[in-house]
Amino acid sequence: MDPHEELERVRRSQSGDRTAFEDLIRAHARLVWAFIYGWVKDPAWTEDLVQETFLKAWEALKDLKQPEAFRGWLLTIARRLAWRQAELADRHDALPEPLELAAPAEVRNPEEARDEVQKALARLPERYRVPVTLHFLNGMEYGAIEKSTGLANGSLRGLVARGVAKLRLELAPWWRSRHDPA
Amino acid sequence: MTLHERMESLADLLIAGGLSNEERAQAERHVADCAACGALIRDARDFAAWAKGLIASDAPPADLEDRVIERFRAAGQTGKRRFVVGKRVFRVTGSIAAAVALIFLGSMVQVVPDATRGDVNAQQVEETRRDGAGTPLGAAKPKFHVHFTLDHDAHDHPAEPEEISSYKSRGLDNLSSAEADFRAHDRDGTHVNGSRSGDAKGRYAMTGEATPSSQKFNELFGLVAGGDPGASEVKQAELGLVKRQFEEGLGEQRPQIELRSRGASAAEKNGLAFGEGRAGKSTELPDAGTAEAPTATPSLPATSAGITGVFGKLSAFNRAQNQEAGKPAKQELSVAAADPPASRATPTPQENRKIIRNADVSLEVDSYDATYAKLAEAAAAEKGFVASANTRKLANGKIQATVVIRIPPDRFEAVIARFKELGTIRHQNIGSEDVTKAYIDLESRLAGKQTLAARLSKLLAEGKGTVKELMEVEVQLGATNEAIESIKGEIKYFDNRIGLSTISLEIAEKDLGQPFEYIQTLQANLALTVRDPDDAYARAQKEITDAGGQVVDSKMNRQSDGSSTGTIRGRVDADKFQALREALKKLGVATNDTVNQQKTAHGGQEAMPKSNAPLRKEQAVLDVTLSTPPLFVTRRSQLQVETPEVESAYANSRRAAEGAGGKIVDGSLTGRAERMVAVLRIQMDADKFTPLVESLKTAGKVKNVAVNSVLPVTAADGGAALLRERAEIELTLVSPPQLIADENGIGKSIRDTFSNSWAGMLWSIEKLFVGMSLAGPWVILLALGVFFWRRRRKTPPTAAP
Repeated sequence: MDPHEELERVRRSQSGDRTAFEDLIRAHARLVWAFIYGWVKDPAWTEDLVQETFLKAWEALKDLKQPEAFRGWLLTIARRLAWRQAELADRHDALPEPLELAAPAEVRNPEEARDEVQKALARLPERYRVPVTLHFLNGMEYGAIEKSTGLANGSLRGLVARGVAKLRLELAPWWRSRHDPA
Repeated sequence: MTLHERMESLADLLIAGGLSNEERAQAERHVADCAACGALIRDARDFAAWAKGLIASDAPPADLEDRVIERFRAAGQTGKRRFVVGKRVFRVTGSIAAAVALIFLGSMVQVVPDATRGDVNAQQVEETRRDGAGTPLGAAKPKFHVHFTLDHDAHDHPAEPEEISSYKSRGLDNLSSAEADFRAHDRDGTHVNGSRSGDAKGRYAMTGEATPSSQKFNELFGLVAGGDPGASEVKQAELGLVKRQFEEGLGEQRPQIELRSRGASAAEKNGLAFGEGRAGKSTELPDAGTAEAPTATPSLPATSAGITGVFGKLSAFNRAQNQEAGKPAKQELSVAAADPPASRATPTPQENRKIIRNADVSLEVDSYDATYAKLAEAAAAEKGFVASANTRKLANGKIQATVVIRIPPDRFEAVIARFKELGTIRHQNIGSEDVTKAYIDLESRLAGKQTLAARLSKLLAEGKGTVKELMEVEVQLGATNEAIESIKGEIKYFDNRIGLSTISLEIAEKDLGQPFEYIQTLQANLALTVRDPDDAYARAQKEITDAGGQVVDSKMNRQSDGSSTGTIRGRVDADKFQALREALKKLGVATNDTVNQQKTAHGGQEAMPKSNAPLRKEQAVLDVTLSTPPLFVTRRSQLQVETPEVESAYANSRRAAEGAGGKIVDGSLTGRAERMVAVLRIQMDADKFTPLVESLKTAGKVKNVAVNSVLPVTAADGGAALLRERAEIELTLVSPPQLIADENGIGKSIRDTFSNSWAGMLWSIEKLFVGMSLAGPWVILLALGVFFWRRRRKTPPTAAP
């Protein structure tokens, strides 16, 4: 959906066109998902919040003064919901933990490794995290990410490259230990 | 920077597909040549695969978008969208409704306590119908009166003392149908009256009253009792029913049935004044209505013929009931009430009984002397005697006497029977006193004392013992003999009383209370208006003393306005009264002249003396009032003058009035600069009236002038009344009217409207706050409850790691 199309859908939605809003859901659901997941780290709960985000957006759409800023506005709603949820769930989980470079070498449990990946992902700054999440979890190819986030090619490249690099750096101890014989 | 150098950062992009086709081709070419970069790419690919694999379980579902859309659609169908559309309207109307509700609540606050004051629980309505307005029934046909209370589900109702005279049905399941049945009897000419009341617990009670005919009585009674009357005869049905209720064992909660059989009025009268005229015997029918028989309370039965039967049955039944209940009846119904008095008046005195009989009789006779002679003769004939006779002659010549005669007991009745021949018996009271026990006591005491005396005498005669001991015996003997004499005296007294009955007769001659003379009193009120009260005062007193009378009281009052009043009370012989009155009237003009003449009977209690009774004249009383003539306004003027200078005109008018010898009675000056009103009331002698009116007219523009002349009142004798004539002027000075009046027009309407709205608004605000303070805490509590409930519900099961 190009910006013109999106603008048109937003305006139609504002006048009460539900199908137009459904197009908008289709276009942005995964972005919102990725966005919220970074805070909440629970797929089921994330989905709930995605739904809630869109319902709230639909209710409040009339009050949106700048239709061209729809995506940012939507993410603001999502962020607010995610924060509240993260706060309610557990403050500690939401906050990034300090780096533990000297990770124990004997970590073998895939569960623990998964947790570490989640945590590392959560620790990434938001602008890195969203594209990386979209790629890693939603399996989006670069082009799709570009479309979804609406970012220009140049900036997205930098974000993806640096985000993945950061992730690799953080996860290096666990990644390396995977090679050890079980 | 060569491609090789950039390869480190491009590797991840390459894997993520973030390179353009051209860049990718370049990179792939380079990797083919460079082993290090190849490793780098492999490494990146491996890492991506590893990381993706690890968190693949967290990946969103493939149909994420569809699911969100589905949810969105579902929300739309539940009307959430519509709610959003109408939200603003809803909010506005909701707020208004809430405010109105709060105001209403607030204004209700003062009312609520009053409404809850009524005690619904204790309500018990009893309706009685006693007028009996309905089908007139003959004297022989009693009219029954059922009075009852039906109490629906009365198990937990404590018995109330007030309900004691009403039938109480226990645990009636369906009161409504009972009521319907009960009322249905109305169609048969039974007069049914009932009311029901309920309480908060859904229990309700019914009270009713009916006056059925005797045929209907059974049926209705059975209905009220909630059972089959099961008997054909009225009396038995009544008793049988009562008994059955009793056997049910209601304990403290005794069923009560009040039966009021109302007969014809003649029968009632007969019952109430029973025994009247039977030898003056004061016989009272026991008041059956107050008899507290535990189960049935019959009122006066209809006819005297039926009394004995009904009462006999009832009292027998009651006795049986009381024995059953282990509780004596508080009052037994007496059957003997209806017995002829003769059966009581002639008892056969038993030989061993000691009975004192006496009688009080009040007789009215024509002549005492003749009566006394007959009485003495009768007493002698019956072996008795006249014990005492006291007579008293009253002022009207009549004799009143108290005569006591003693008669042997066996002649007692015969003598009393003979009294009827002597005159009219006004009152008769025959009594007897059984002194058997006291008499026997006395006799045994006497015997004891006599034995003791005999022993003591014996001791004394034997002369054994010391002197001291003998002395003691002597003393003891003396005391014993004294006691014996005393007891003997008492026995003698009793013997006398028993041996001879005592009859006390109050004898009065006819017309004992009749007055024997008239007394005439004369009293005159004379009010005179006189020119010179002091002179008249002195002359009036002289007239009274010249006529041979006395001045009893005299007084002279002088008031500040120059008037004076003198009052004199004189007494004079009745024959000189008229002459004195005429003489006094000449002193002035009479304004009041009344004579009160009274003739009163003297002596006795009855109203009228005999026609030939003497007339005694008392001294006449004369009350004379002498007063100066009253002030009387004969001319009156109302003058309205319009002047721009009200204040100065007012001052000038005052001066003019005083100059003309007038007296300012009243004066006022009110208003503000533009609109002033002055009112002046002036009194003056009549001859100065006209010139003063003319001079006052010059004060400004005369708007209105009215002059009234009042004719002097004529005196009582038709001549001109004695008056002090005065004239009065009422002057009103006003400013010229302004063009527009203040207090009307559209401006005032608007102001009034605003002030009304303002007051209304203040009222609403006050009530709103009252309502808020009433409802506020609850709303806050509710909101808090909802908040915590939702918060609890939303907490996720467990957040990720």
